[in-house]
Amino acid sequence: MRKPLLTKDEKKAIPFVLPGVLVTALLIVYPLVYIFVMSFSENGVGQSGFAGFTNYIRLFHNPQFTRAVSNTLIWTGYTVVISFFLGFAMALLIHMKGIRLKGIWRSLLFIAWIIPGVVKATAWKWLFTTDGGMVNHLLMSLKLISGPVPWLTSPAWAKTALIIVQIWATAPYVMLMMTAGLQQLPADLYESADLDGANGFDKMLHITLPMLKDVSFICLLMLLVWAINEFALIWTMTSGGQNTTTLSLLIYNQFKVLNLNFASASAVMQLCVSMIFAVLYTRLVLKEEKQ
Amino acid sequence: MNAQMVKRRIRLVLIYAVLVLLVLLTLLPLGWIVSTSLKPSTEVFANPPYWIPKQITFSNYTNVFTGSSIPIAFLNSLIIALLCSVMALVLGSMAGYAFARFQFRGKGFLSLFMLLSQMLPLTVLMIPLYYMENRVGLVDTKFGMAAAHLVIALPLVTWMSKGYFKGIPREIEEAAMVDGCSTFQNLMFIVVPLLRPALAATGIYAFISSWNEYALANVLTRSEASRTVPLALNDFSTFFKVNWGDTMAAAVVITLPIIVVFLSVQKQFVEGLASGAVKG
Amino acid sequence: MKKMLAILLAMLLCIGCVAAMAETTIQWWTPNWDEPESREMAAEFEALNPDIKVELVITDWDTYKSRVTAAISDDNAPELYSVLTTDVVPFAQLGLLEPLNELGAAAGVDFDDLLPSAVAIASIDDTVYGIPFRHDGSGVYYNVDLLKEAGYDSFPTTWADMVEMSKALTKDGVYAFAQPLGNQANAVTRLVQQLYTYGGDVLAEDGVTCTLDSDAAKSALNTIVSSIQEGYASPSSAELDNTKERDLFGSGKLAFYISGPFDIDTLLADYPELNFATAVIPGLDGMACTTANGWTIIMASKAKDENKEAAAKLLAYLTTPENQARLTDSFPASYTALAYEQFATDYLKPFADQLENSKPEPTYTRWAEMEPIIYEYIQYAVSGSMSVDEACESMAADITALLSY
Repeated sequence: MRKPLLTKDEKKAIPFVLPGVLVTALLIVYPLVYIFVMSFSENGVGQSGFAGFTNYIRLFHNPQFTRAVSNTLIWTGYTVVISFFLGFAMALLIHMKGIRLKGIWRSLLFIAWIIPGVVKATAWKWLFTTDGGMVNHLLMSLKLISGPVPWLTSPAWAKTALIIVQIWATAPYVMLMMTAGLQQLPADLYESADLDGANGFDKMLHITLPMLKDVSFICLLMLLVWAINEFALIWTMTSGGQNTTTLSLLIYNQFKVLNLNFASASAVMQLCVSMIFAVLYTRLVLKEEKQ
Repeated sequence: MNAQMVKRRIRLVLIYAVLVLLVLLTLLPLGWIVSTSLKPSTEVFANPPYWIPKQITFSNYTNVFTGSSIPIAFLNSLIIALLCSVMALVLGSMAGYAFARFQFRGKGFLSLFMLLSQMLPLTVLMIPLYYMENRVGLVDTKFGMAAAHLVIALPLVTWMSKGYFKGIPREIEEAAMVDGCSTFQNLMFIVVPLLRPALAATGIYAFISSWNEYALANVLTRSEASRTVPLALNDFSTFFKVNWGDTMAAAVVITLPIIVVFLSVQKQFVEGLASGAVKG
Repeated sequence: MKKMLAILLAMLLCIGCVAAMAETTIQWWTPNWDEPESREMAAEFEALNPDIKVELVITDWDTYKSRVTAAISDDNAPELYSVLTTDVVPFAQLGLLEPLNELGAAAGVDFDDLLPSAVAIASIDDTVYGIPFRHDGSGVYYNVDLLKEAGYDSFPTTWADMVEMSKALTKDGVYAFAQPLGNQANAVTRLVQQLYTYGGDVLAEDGVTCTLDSDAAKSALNTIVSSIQEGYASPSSAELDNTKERDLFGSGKLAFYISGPFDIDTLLADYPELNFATAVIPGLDGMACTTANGWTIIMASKAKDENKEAAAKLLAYLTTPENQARLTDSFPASYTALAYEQFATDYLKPFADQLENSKPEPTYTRWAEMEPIIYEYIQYAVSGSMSVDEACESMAADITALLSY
């Protein structure tokens, strides 16, 4: 007997998967092909002679590109790691035995994540003003600093200020996901661990963390995506000045002046970085599923 | 015994103190926006800064409601975000269901594809998406904007709902199958009702993403036919002048509704997230 | 009954005719600060030309560049856009703009009446790609009372005298002036103005070697950096843009500042008590060089061909001397309009004089890539993490590297 073209599962799956996949493809395949082609084209709109690797070579010789790559790595590294641990810590705090009104605390803390990007960036830019900004005013009246800190006007501080705001905005997401995860943990596991005489650290290492592996993956992935792609926040607060230009901003600056081939080459480079993370992630998740 | 209780009390008080501090930090920018929105223009740049306006004014709000495009933009955003989250929910939960339930060739590739589309920077998509929509006449329409926001919302809903569907025991569905339900009926009448809070959470997530999105809306909207709220904020700044009081009043107007929406459904939201967060 | 039907039919036909007559719709993208005048002018134009409908798209300063860029580069582009005059040439070089020499002349644009210096910024060789309607440079606004207290009846005419005066003016929380370094465009413009004053230029003749490491460039940057480091320019300069500078000046915290003539109306309206006057920018020995820029209306070459004639008609209407005078927030770019009474005020006179010694802002093809580099090193020099010489040499090196590939 010949093997049927489609298995029974496949026949069922197609009508469900196809619409969603097609719509997504419709939205991203053209842009992807477009930037890929443009990155190998000579400059100009609608004139697209083949340019080989010229655009990429130009890119690597642009001092701004090198700085943007290193800024992106620093920015992503700090925001992802700190947001993750801070969010997790917040979740553990709320989850503590004896804390009342868990839902209220959770909601209040989550508000930071909901505020529209432009709004929070504008507000923070203002709060971080060196002269007459609320942050400096508060820190000075608490005697934590002696003079105003040039938050957004010195290369040394600008990155820190941006990282603080990104953490402020994204840690609540981790907090929410983690509290959601913690709620689902079966209490009997802890009870039996208590009977075995396990201490808090043991329980954390052997029960809590492994059980939260999936939700942690989701959180880390989202944090990565947000960090690499963040645009509105940096654009509003520093416009990429004070050495805070990331790849995302570099691409926007190029697209804005219709430097399409150069912008596309930068975009392809950024996609390569994202792709590495995406492949790693699906590997991990799919491997899990097969087990 | 008593000493231990005291110790526990102190610990609790400390935790509450930390939580209060965190909440204050969270609300700091929001507080500043609200405070500024109530100040007359002469107090806006006062140095040193202060929280309580010396003379509270509501004129900034009057300007926003009567003399700006914020009310229309608000309606636009509402329609676009609703349209986008409904489309994302329907298409995304169907795909998520298939990913969770069926084995098919190319599944790995397709999930990678959906994931990758989630990772595309919007600044990259901006121009090509504009060209695409321009050619079919979708630029500056609410549908065109909602469709473009599917780029963010659809993969997200797919991934999240896949987790939820996995959490539903197969046995429930198999029982229904025996009763003669088709796969589709199964999904509609058995699985979806079970997952109502989870799907609502995903929908809200999609709604908020669409409501807040800036980069795509920047090029895909032109006039009051489709302009969304984050862009309408620019109404108050020109080449020569930024009207901060009005801008901040508008910021309050566009931020409060989504906070209210979230707070009113936060319980379902967290439950929804939770059901997908840990595999059952 | 039949009569009724006939009347109805006739009415429908009429509506159809009107609809057919009003077939051509021209889009004009105009910024939000010009919106009231734009609406009036569009309505007037429609009344004069019943077969053409004008549709306005209102842009704003923060987003107009990226939005125009997307719209103008695709087929069936909207027809007309108000843009910064220095944005014209980069668009034209990409082949996105309609040459206006013949099209404009046929529609009635009087090219001889337009200021040659403004038209030059919007042209490549002899081909004109935009009709300017506003043209201006910077000047000084000063607080008459504060200067009097310090013993000055008029504004100094050389930079050295100005520095001398600034030191006397800076006291009791008042600073002599500030530098608008919180905004890339404002900051780079300031540096380029100083650079031109010292006789330098951004690129050498060859167009690929950056000469920002010249002595002129170092002196130019040094005037900016030292004004802050020596304490007579406000230390908050690093986060100021023109708007905030004007607010500080208006509330008496700055004795003077440098800006365009468009601030006059705002200052008069917002600070009725303020006793201010204007002057030309002091230079080495006499007036400094200013950079001139303005606003211009362009036509997309990718717009529908059948609409271009009607679009040119609208363009010609919008840039008549009378309408230039209404649309501009400072000076018009037409000789006839410049002679109008409204431009002959004491406040505006120094700005007009200043234009005598002006150079256009840079319109290099890759200027938009160079600006962020220049801005970054200005910031390094001002924050003290680099010396002025280092900053100038690094920006020259980076830009030369950028342009060599």
